[in-house]
Amino acid sequence: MTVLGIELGAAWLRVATLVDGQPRVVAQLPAAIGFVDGARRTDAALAACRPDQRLDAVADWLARPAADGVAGVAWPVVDGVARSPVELAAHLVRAGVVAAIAAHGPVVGAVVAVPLDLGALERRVLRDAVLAAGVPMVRLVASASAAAVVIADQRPARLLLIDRGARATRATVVESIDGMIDVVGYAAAPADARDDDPAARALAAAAIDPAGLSDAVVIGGGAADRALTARLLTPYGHAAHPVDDPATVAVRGAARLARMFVDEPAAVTVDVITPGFSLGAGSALTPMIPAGAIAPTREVRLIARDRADRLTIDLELWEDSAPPRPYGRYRIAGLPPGNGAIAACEVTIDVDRIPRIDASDLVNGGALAVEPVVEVGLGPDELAELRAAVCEDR
Amino acid sequence: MTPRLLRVRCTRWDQVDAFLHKKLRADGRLSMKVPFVAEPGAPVTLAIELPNQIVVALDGVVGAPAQRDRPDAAVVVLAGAKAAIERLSAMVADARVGGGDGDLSATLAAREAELRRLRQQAAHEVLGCSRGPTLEELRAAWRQRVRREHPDAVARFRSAALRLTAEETMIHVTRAYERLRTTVCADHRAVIAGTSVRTIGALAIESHAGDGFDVVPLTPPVDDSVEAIPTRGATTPPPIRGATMPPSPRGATTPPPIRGATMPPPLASSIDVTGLSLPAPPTPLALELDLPPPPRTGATLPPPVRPAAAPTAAPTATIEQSLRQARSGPGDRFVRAIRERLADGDHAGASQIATAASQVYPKDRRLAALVEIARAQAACAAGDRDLAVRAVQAALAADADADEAHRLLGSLELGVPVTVALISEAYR
Repeated sequence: MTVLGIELGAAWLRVATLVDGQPRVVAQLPAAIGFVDGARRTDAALAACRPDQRLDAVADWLARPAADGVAGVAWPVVDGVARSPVELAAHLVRAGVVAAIAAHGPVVGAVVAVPLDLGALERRVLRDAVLAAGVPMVRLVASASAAAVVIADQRPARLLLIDRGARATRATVVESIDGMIDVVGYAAAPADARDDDPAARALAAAAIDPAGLSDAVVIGGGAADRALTARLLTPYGHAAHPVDDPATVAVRGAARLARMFVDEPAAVTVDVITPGFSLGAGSALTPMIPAGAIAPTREVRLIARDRADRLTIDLELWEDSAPPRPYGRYRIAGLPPGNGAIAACEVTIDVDRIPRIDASDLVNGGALAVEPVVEVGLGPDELAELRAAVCEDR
Repeated sequence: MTPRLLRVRCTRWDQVDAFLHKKLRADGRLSMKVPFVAEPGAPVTLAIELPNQIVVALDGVVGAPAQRDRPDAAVVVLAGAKAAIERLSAMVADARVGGGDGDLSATLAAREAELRRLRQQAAHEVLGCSRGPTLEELRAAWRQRVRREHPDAVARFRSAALRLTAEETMIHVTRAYERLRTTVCADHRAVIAGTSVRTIGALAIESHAGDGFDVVPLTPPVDDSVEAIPTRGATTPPPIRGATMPPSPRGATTPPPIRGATMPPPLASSIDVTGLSLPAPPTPLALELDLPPPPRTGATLPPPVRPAAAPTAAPTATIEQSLRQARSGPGDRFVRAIRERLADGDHAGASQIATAASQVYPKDRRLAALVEIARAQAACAAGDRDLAVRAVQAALAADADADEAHRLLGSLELGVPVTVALISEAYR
């Protein structure tokens, strides 16, 4: 039984698995995708693409706030065609998973390491992409939590992890105690922001003094720069910690966490929801899931229709980023006619921090149908295309 | 010619095993009844649904029956049957190593029973700690519960049903933790930091409006006379507040970066009954909360209210006054605060307090009625007479002794114009 850890970074897509119980990176593809005559190209086949036929740093496009695009930033144009970043990312992840399956056989589960602040839309797309690639069980965890599995190695620890990536610096304070890993502080800043210290902000958010840390570690691609690593850690009184291959520590941790699909978990990981979610109904947009809530969580709101003869209610779910991003529009159907019909609308954020909406009739408690009218992410046609591409690859 | 689809549904792994070794022959031939006329050579697809929700599809054709085949059954010859049998056999073996059906069924039943039991318990009982836990006790109790109830702890069963049950339990456990954590913070003993809770004073704490978590210092209240409820929303204010939609993506001319991100025309089919927000199914609380006022941050929190007038006992109490005193309970202070907000026309503030207070004191009928009255005032503000009438009726259904609601309903039935002041006057 094979399990996978997956990480889509700015430069590389990495896939790791457990070999003799130890995590090992088994596939490493450039995080780029190209097109020649409409056909997708990844990995070595990218060499056949002209510069205008390939898109590098797909994850960077994925992490862009979708609302920016709505406000006017167009999709990346590759080979003369504007293409959806989420679809490109899905195909890239699919390529990595298929390569790992080809080498190691059927996979029973995968853990995907993602940035803590990755939006719900991108989370759903990544999960769908891995599922479409033939992995039956998928779990998304914060990269820092995955890295902490390897660094703490089952010892009680309170870690400051600074992920110095190509585009951003993310600082996370993680506690690993008795087989549970949870994030207690987090902050991020663009990599070129010199006067912003996300590590200091993460410590302040965690209300922890640097002396209270058991260790401070720089991970990610920037960890190779020793001078930078020393500069990042000096304010916190910690010397550069020798971590074996810090660039791949998150994906190796994800592989170790993926052991949960075949055995007792190495650790359970708990995330905090950031940003929150709001529900739009009528002309109002009201807070639903507050930022800072612990996942999974659920909130309920009562919605009344505006006219007694209307049998449906329209809702919108928005992610409270700045600016807010639409997640989907839904229609609650099947309300009984007459006065007094009120729908109890439930928004559940699951353990992967992906929302779902359910509704019930407040009067009789019966379930109401919630139909997605517009839902962001991959649609049935794109998923079918992904599955077809997986079959071709095999 | 479109292949006919044949389904074989296996809800248990021993059924898969029996199908592979007793039904399906090694040469890929399968004898089974089909709901159509089976003509030799017709293409068919056999879909085997496994207990872990995976469907394995095998292509084949209808074959000629052999002598040993039953005359009323069709013979299907599957392509690639040998490889499929090997793979499915491996999956059956994996399932047995991982616990098998019996273990899964027993675990699922035990988890569902545990969830039912937890739903009957107070917050501190859910976590297994004392009523007024210390920070360390609270956090340790929550950790212990999470390690046991988290969906990751049952991922090895690879069962969607078990994962959902674990998720429900986790929601319940975390809700109890957040409630107790808020209580501890409201006592000015700590602040919320991510999933954790920290004592105040160890570090100079600042609140950052950046992209990370915000530590929310729960500083002492500004006015000791103000009665209010600490809520999760109050401690971690969401970034969006108010009754306006965010910048709409409608009208975007460039292709959106996500499928369907441009929403269709505006919603006009519903009214968000904000005052009826139910943050959580009521967890039975055995806490006797003596809560100090929460921080008053954010635009949606109700404005400061006038100090409540000290109740003065009438020298000669009437029977009515005695009855009213008999109805008083631990939620009195909340009732006063809600009424003051209603009198000021602040239905949003009244609703927020009433909703939270009715969770703390779920059996207090006055609070339940005031939730509805706040909703009625919101409806009045929107000029919706029908909704206002229904809300006042609901208030009376919750508390038949609510005199103000009786008077309001009478006024509304007489056709008095619906205004915010109508309810403000009633509760002044």
